[in-house]
Amino acid sequence: MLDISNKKIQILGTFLIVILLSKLLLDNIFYFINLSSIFEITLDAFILLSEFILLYYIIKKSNLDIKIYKKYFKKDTTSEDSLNSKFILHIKILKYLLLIVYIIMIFTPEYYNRIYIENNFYAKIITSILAPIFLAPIFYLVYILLNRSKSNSNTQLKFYVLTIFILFFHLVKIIDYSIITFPGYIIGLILLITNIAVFFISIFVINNNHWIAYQSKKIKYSLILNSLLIIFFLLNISFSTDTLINDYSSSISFTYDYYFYGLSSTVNLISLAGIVIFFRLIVTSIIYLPSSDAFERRQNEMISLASLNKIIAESKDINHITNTVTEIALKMTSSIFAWAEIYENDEIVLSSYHNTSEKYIRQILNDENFNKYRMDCNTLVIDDKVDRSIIASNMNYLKSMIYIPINDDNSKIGAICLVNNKKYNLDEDEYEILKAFSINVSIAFENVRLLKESIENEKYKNELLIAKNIQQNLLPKKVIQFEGYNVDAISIPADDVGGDYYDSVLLENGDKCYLIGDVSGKGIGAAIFMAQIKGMVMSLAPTSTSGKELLCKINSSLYGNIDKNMFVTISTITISNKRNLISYCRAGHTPLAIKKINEKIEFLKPKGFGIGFVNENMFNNNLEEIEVDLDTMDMIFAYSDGLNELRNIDNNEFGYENIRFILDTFKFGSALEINELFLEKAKSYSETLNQFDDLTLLTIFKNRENNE
Amino acid sequence: MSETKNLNIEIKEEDGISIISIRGFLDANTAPNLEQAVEDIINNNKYKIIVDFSELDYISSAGLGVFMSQIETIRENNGDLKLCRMQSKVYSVFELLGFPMLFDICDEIDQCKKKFENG
Repeated sequence: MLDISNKKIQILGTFLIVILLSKLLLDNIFYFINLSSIFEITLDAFILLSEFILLYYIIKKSNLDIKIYKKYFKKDTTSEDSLNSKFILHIKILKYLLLIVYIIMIFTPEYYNRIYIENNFYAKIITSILAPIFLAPIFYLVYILLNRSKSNSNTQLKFYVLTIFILFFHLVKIIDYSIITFPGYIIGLILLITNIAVFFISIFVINNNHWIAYQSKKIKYSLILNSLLIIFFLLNISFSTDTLINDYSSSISFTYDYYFYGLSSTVNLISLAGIVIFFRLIVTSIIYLPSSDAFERRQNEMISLASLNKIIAESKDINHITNTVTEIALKMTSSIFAWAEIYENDEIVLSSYHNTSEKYIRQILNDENFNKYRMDCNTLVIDDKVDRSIIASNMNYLKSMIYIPINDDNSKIGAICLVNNKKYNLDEDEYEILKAFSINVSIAFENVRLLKESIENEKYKNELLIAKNIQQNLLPKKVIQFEGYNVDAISIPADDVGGDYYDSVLLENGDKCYLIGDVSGKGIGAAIFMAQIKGMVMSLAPTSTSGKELLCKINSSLYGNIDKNMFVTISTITISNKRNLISYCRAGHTPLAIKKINEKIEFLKPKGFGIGFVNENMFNNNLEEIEVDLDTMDMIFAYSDGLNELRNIDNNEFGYENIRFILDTFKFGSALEINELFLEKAKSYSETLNQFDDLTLLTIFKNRENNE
Repeated sequence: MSETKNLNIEIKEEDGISIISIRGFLDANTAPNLEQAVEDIINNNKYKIIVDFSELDYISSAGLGVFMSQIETIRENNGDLKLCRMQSKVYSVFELLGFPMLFDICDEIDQCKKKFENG
């Protein structure tokens, strides 16, 4: 609460005690030797000043008010609001401080005043203890008003003027007491003028009381009550004495004046200012009281809209939304009960309900007339006079209802229904707010759907990415290389994954077999099929002695086991170790291009069915394997139909002629270079290579070094 | 390239033979439509089918699968699926896959009809 370890407070506290003790001592000496009072006043002023500073530090340094503030007003408020809330809290604290003083005052019999005078020494001690307690609420009042006036320089100026008036009168009193004794009427006149001035300035000190309008009814009542109590206490404490004639009828005024001459008048003036200010507060609160309901409702609406937006942003679950939204709508409209219904396949499904039982709502939902009435509502409907004939028999009390449709993609998917036993009588603004609410609810629902879709999409994308990685690992990063030849293969899928395939395997006899394939279709289905083919090639190659045998085995395994409209085309290029012979087998795949030095480009097209079309017999009998005679610097080029069927902007195919031309004009280079050249040409042909189909290239180049 | 190309399918009956005229683009996207059309014909117990390719601009490998999927059923019921009037580009795709060894591919509809008559 209060940080006692604070250095300033410690020093001030010590200082105060020292002066107090010395004053007690000196007072008693003065009592006997009867010295002039100006000396006494100076000392009094010292004590008073140090007490003020100490009190100020205690209030300022203690986080007392902040802690209580946190407890009282936990809700989030804007900075302006919190300033007002703080003010309200200060008023409450002031009330308690005044109450304490009031109680002490009541329980202090008047004859104590006499004891004080007669027994100066003890009187001084008691006064020294009581005076700060009595001064505390006054000081707190000044503190509050000072704080309050800070926000506005104009108010601050008025406050300073007020302070000057009060201090001026205090000075007059001191002069009157210590230097020249003014005639009573002069003091009276000055007091009157000061009182009038303080009264009028106080009226205008805190001008801006509009914030009260925005407070809830409860807070307004509390403001009125607290202010009334404060005025009552201030009147009793400060004005129980007519200081003018120095007739102390209460211990408190006596204490003030006995403590420091003229203090009671000053306190009176401050109290007067306080009374005026709090009276204004009461008047303002009362003026704004009738509008409380409207303000509160509007505020509820605003809070509701704000919380709705929060729900929209956070919700992922339809039921959670309907539940909250129904509750908000219920509060907003002050209906007797509410429910949310979702329409699924011509059925009304209860999603949530508030202020009623499920059984009861289900009864309502079984009423056909009433259901039909609601189904006919397509926009926001506020019916303040619901037709008797459509209401269920058990809902006779129902006078009005609000139907808030929930739309998704321009079709009604549900509604929030609110019913009331009296008319809603909504004004235009409230109707607009309800309309905005209705739109927001629909947006919330749409968001949930979109979010779900995007999550699905994202999931699908991730899975596709995984599939892409898997597939890329299925294709060898580097095909088998061996002396005398230079081989390179590349595959670019049209989508994330594709159905093209290339590979290099060793056959049973150690021959190297290069494969290029294309499964029907593209995308995920093709990719899975391609993975299956890869598996077959891997397992069947070690037991096959030729490309043809491998293809026949694959066909035998596949035929009858796959969808009839699925198939795969594969070409094998087998390079025999022993005889340095190249054989080519084509199971439905695009023709193999062969470039021989000084000869025309040739496309080889031996007979062969696509794999998976026909049975073992038919396939095997119709599959040809031809031998290719390849000399040094000769080259063979295999590709998928993604190349020859590539289309340009005019929808013309790349075709065999372009392949022929590129191979013809290509003078010399590695297999990698020829593949890259084809990719580049394909890209420029289709302009973006926004490929239509998967594209795979396999080039085998016979090196110069390889002379037999 | 990614714009969807359509496939128009027209079916008419001549002398107990169903003639399917296809126009446009036959690929993975449009193949199911043709497959459905062929299936519908078979479901009506008609097994003599001629496909007129004259207005087909493009066929992809997936499009070829359609003709394989039903051929067995058709032939088991003493019917056949005959193809005709292919543009050379389209024909070459069929040729690569060995279709000429499986299907009767004629230049004109009448030739196909004659083949049906001859049995």
